[in-house]
Amino acid sequence: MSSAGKPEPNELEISLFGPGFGESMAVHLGNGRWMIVDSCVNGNTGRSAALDYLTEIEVDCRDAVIAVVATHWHDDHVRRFAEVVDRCERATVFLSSAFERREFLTLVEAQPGTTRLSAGTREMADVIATLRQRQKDGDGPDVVSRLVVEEVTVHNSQTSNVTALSPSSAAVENAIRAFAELLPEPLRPHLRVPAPSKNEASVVLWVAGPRCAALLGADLQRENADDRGWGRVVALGQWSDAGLVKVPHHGGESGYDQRMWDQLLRAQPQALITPWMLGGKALPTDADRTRICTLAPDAVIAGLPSTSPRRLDSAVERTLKGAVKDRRVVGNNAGHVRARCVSADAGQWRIDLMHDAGPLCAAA
Amino acid sequence: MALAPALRTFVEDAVTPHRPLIAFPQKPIPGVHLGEPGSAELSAENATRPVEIGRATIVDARREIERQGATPDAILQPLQKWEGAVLEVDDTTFRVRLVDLTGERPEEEMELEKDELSDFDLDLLEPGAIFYWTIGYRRELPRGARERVSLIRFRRFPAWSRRELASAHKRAEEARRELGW
Repeated sequence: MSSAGKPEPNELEISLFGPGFGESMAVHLGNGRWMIVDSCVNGNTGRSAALDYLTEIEVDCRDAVIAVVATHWHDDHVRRFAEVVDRCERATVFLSSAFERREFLTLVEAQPGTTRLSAGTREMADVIATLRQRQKDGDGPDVVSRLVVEEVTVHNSQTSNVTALSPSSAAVENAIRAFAELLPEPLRPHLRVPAPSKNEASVVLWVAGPRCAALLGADLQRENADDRGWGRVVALGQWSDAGLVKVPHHGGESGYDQRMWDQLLRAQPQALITPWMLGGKALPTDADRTRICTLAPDAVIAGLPSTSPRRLDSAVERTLKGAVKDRRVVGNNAGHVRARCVSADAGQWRIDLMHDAGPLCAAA
Repeated sequence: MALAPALRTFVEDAVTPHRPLIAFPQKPIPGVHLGEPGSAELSAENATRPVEIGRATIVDARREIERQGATPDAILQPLQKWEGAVLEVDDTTFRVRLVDLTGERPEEEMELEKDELSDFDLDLLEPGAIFYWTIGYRRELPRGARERVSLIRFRRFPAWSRRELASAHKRAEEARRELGW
């Protein structure tokens, strides 16, 4: 999918994939060790975009991927996540602490009938089945999976360390209440579980090498109270000066908190964004682009939120013309932004753009 | 587009891509009871065996036709099929996410007119509802007229029972315990 060689052993890499609806990252932690954060589909192959990339640069994910993280369970962040967990069989799977609660696990267990429609809960059901099997096969609990709350260390080595900056305990409790509201009720029909707009228990990661640091903002949002959301992350106090940010929540206004930009990042950092589209709404909006480009003029976006549909049989097209008011393709070939940084780069990240990835601000 | 009542009773094609639809005869088939709201889902898994739900019994439609010696009076040649989920419902339209069942095209999102739905399916229209959509040609047998049809059919999932939900709770606790969480 991308023409690229492997990073140098001492080189941090953050590869961001965005097919229009979905987000995933492959993070080189140094010395050939990798972490995969979330999962999305490569439209060309139907497989995990991150795994396809690692295969292309001849990285054996079975041995090389040591950590797999689901920042949250929404469909656009966990498509093919079960495939990632399955193939990266030696990786520890890191999940938001909210996932361990009975409310979430019941939501995962209470699936409607067989369907080809993707759903975050269904994907997580497959992941949990795999983890249970591994547990039965004899791997220890901390090897198979670990639950993440703020300030949990995900990885620590001579070349890099990764720390979770969220979720806070207050965020987890709010997420649990949201899960409870989604649980099916007796005598109600089976329905596809909707993804609520809130992502309070989302896992934000801080990735740091000797001279390069990155903030991976997941879908964390701004909240009214500072016991959760970006207010809480900023209040942790010990994280600053990252030169790269994966902008939270697809650049949307709900993920914008000026304190994040002021206190956690360098001035005019390298910003990476994935697009999003659902229910006729697309992110980032024009207003989001303008705001982000003021803060990060070199911002790049990993793809297009939607593209024109391919033409179908002419009789089908005639039928659609009379029945459909709006029509968009939402799964494209995953655009790819690759950011690399070594100590000699003095904290500056080098950016490569592949497929539909491009500058955010040129089109603003 | 309005659909012949006979076509509305057909369910199996919706879960079997590339297979020609065979419509039921116009006359009702005694004992055949398909797809009432709240009844068992008629899917590939259970369409070939009777399913008992309370007092209603759902029978295999094909076997029932064969048993009665009935013959189809029309066929539907599908050109395009999707499985879809309802995202939003407005006054006159609804927005859906569609997965292609005919080929490997990417997912699409569309906004459709509610007029596309039968009154029967309109009752099932709500966010999260899952449906099949087939566009094709309906041809009367043996050599009758051909018409283009659009068939949207909502899946009739069973209602959640208290027992099912209790079972899901139990499985959740088992998973939690096994994972050491």
